[in-house]
Amino acid sequence: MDIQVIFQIAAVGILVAVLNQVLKSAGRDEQAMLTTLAGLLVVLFWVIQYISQLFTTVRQVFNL
Amino acid sequence: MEIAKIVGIGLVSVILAMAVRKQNPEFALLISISASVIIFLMVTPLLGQAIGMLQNIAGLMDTSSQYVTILMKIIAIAYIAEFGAQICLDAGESAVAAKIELGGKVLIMVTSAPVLFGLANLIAGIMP
Repeated sequence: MDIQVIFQIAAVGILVAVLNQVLKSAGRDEQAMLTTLAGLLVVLFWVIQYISQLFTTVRQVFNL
Repeated sequence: MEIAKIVGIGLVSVILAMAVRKQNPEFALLISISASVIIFLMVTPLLGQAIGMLQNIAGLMDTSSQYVTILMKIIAIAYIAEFGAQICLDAGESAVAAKIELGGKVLIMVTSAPVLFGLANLIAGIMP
């Protein structure tokens, strides 16, 4: 369950890196930067969900 | 063998973060954040038992439960502040990490004010 998230994030990171290289070699630098941003946003949303889960868990564990 | 799983997850995420760091360092930081969150979520059931044991002991000593809840809040604040500060240090932003630590200290000081007042009253009561 939990290790998958790390693999997903790493996969998106590598995919974005490869896309970057391809787009750069094709001469479209703007698209390369946009794909990096898009990948970053997607991963950021996953991680934010995980961090909110962390905070609710902390609240439950310390029953505040 | 919980510890083997924890170390395994930690090592895998560190290696993946290094692999991704060269092209885009943001993903490396996101991988390390998610790894620390996952490891904490794995440990929480055991932490819950330890906290329950602490509360039983506090119940035996019939201290007012107000101090125990303050203690819990302080532990939670300390943990989350440390979590955020370490991530900022990972990213190399030591100034932000110091500010987060400062915020944590101030919050803990404010939360622990009732305990200090209780102690002061106790001492004043003892003094002739």
